Amino acid sequence: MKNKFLILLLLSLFLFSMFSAVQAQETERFVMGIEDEVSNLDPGETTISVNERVASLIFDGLVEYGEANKIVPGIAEDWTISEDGLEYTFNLREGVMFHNGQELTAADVEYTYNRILNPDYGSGLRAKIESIESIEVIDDYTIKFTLSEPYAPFILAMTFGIVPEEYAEEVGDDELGRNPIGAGPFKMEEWDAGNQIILSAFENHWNKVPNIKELVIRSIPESATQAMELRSGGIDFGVNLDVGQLESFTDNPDYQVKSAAGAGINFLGFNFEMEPTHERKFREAVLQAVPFDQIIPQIFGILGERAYSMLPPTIWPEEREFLKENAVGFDPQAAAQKFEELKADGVIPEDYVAQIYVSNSRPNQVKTAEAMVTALNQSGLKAEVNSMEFGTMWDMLGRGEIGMFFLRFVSDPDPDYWLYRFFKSPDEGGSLNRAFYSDEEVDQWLEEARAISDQAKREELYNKVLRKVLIEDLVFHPLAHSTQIYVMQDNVRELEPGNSLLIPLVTPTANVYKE
Amino acid sequence: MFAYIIKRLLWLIPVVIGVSLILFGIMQLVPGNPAAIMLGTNITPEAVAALNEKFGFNEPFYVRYFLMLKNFLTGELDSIYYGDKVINIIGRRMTATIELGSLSLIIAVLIAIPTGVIAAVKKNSLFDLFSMFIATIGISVPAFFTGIIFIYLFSVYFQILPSSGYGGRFWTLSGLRHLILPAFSLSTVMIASTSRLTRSSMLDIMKEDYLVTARSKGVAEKIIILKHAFRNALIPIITNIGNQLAMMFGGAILIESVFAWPGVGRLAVKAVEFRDQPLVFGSILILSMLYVVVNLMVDIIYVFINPRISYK
Amino acid sequence: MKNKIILFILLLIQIYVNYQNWIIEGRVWSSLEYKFATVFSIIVIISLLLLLFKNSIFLKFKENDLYAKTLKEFNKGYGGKIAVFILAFIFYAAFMAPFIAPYSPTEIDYSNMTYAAPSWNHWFGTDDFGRDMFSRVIYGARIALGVGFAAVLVNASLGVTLGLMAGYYGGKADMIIMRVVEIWNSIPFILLALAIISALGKGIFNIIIAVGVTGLINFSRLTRSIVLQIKEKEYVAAAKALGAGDLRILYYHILPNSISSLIVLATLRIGISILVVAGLSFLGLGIQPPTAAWGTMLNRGQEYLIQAPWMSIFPGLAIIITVLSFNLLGDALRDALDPRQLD
Repeated sequence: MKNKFLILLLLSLFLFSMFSAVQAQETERFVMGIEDEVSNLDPGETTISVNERVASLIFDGLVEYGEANKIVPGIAEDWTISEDGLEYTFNLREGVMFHNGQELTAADVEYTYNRILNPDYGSGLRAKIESIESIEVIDDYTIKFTLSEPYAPFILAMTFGIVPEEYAEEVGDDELGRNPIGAGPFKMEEWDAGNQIILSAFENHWNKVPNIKELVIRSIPESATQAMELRSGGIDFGVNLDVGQLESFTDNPDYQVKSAAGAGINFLGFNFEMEPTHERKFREAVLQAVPFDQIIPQIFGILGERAYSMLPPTIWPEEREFLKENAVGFDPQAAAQKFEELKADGVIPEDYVAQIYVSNSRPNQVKTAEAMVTALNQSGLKAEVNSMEFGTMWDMLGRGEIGMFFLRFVSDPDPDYWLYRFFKSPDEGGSLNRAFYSDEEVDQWLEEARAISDQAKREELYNKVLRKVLIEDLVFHPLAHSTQIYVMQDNVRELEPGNSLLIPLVTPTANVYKE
Repeated sequence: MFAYIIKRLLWLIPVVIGVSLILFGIMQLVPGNPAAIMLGTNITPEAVAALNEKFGFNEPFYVRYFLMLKNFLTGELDSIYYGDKVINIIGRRMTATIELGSLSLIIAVLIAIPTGVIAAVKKNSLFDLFSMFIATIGISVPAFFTGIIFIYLFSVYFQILPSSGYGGRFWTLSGLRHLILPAFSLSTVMIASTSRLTRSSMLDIMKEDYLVTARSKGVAEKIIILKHAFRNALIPIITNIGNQLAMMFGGAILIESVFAWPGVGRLAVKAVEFRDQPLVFGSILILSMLYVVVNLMVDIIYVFINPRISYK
Repeated sequence: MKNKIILFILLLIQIYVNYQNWIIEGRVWSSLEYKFATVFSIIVIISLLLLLFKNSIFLKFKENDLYAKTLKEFNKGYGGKIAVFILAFIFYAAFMAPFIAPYSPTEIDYSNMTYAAPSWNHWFGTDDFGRDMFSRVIYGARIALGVGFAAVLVNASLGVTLGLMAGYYGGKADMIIMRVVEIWNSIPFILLALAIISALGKGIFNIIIAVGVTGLINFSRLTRSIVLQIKEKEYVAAAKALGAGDLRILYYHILPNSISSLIVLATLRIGISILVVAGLSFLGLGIQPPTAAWGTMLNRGQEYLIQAPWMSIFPGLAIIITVLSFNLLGDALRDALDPRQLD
């Protein structure tokens, strides 16, 4: 009898502790949900955005993004750019420490950039610094980059995370990606692959010691699951919520929903080497058939803003007005008539079914494609949505097998990054030119604009490019600037979304904490 | 018995060869160059060439197959996406998968068999009707839907269990708390089908002559049911569990996605999505081998219960 | 008499539906889906008329011994009857979708793309594009049944062929075939389907193939065991002695004897196939939007689980009820078509 009682007591205790409400978490521990699994934290290989998001917390660069995307000093105290725009000289701070206690010197900076420049290493970041001709270490705290030709956005590449030469040489690239050591505000504690990464505050950071002492980064790919985690208090902060879930948080006082404009552009593109998308009339008819102005705000909700330009709203907003006024508008009758004519002319084959390709990891784009297909079918053009993994789609795009596609592009705040690779002729440096668009004038403007540093002149050139490709030739149709949306518990302070994908937990202006 | 186990383990060899051939064949049909996919928008021809060289994508297909199989067997296979050895990546997730699978199996057996036995003994009672009604619905509900409903109920509404993720090894409190919801969601289908089968095979056995004789000789009902009927009913039940395992292995992949569970199934889905050929190869091959081994264990239990069957 | 009244009411409803569509809306033959619905309604009207006025035609079936026996067994439990009733309803919805759905399943009102709770106008509410969920669920029945049946057909024809060959030829052929099927089966089926779809691309036909080639082991094992039982029977030996070819024996003697078990298995497999397609949709590999399919709708509804639960509840229920009916039907058929009775 006594035994039974004891067992019962133990059992109830056990059950009580099992099912007791989720405990309130300590304020120094911050749990963050990200949209995908981190695969590699080598800052030279962070071409996947989640990797970049986490690596940026561990590594610091020579310069950083400050407010409104202005470049502010990071590890480099100050720098000088020569008159001709070919020489960049950086003065590093003294006493900047890596997580392993070694001091960061110019040699580490040199090593970092040489590593990325090495073609065998195969880094995707290489394209941004290809113009480097030589790197020269002047002394422990001074380094000089010499470019082969002027390249205005070069300074943005100075944000790459600096890796410790000695450590990286000793353990190799693979190990660096798994056990990263940088000079950033957080250091690696534990990596439970596929589940979570635990970082801790780096007490000897050159600038600020984070208020968050323990940072848990959990990968939760299903956005529904992430919403549930926020509701159950399992995470403090989530970045991957779809419109539907967001709505239920915006009017809930227990959560804060914050947004920042323009982390990326969603657009519809056409292939210029395929029938019938190379016909301007066809492209115009497609754009006329779909009421983008109506569907975009309703589908993207607070996750996006109707776009008329390829550039994010923070760059040169005046031009957007012109582009907006001259964009192709909704006109279903005209569209239907054009499709009729094109069919009669044999441009659209009898059994043609337009395939709209879209990446399945972008729910808003899939929905837009769905609405677009519905509208096209009503205007007399048979259409289907073809949603697939981004990788496959990108590969097919590269081989020119896709006529109409949705893409999202995110980059750093310089128009060159946003336009050059998309609209430059494919064999002249347009590495992302999946429309296979080629125009001599545009090529020339783009080339000119990247070599000068006079802002007004650059603006004029880029505006010419935009008018030509978006209004005249209808290469792309911008849909929406995606907005960065952060959803967090109401006790989180100082966490404001920036314009890039990076999560600003510790920045020159903020140091996130929980009340 | 020992010889039987060895013989069954040897079966793994043709399984590895067969499954690897099937996987490799399917992968050849999959469009897309893994190197291009990996580089995404940062693509440059040199980077693609470097990656192609590194992973041997330029070799003819038969060379690639043997290379892949050899590397898999020696543990040298490299994942493209993770930049790590496939064996390490899988190794880090294996515990999570095995914990989820075994707990679901245990839950299923512990709930389903008593339910089935009681339902059979008290045939047409309220308990019988109700539990069988639930069980019939149970086999018709998609497991991932059950998972979503569980999360909503237990994590959001009642807030008594964590909604997703892995909380540590199963013997720690946090580990067990994280394990409960996915394990229950995964076991629903097996609970439902096993309890139905337990009931019907118990009913069949209880009609048999020798039990009627035993009863007429005055052997206590409890002993009849537990000692004679149940033991014989177990044989079809175990067979059914063996058959259900395939469903469970499939369901686990969906459950892992719903609960953000860091298991091998979710890894395999991701590998397919990223066209990470070595990882697809490795993870699916490992899961198939696991399936064969678990089936072998079921068969061994079967031998113990049914000594009439001899294995040569 | 009671039966006649019910039949009469059904006939009136059917005629009213057709009157509305054919006469008032003029939807008869203009598209493929109207053609299907028109043919189906004519069949329904004719069979209702026959049942009402010329019942004697069906007496022939009732006189058949085997049929009567099966029917009697089938009617013993409630499960089978309920299942037949529900499935008839679902089939009707599937074929008649364009005639009975109150709204178009795909058309979008661009000025009002938002969800709304169930109401008198929209019985199941509307989804996030403002489309009527009731119409979409009805249209979804076509995809679910179509893919389910087609996948099982693929599955059964492959599995049965392999099983027949293994069982009939025996020896080495048997060993090799069954080993290959076992190896095939040891790949988790969702992953196999996933890999096949990523190789072939999406689209209904590829999904049917992907679902159809998984789980071959069920059909082949069953067929093989039946063949092994029947092969030893005297009449097969006699046929062989008379010089009948292999194919002839398989077709005339062995297949008819295995058909009842196969029907039971096929019924259960349809339910499983519908679940697998739903699972694939959950991973984003199901039927592509805007086509109304239950799995895809359920997956979409997840996003709105809290504010618009009807978006997931109704497609979810549709899946559960359909699969449940197939399972109940399978159970009832198993009891009714017990192979031991047919022997």
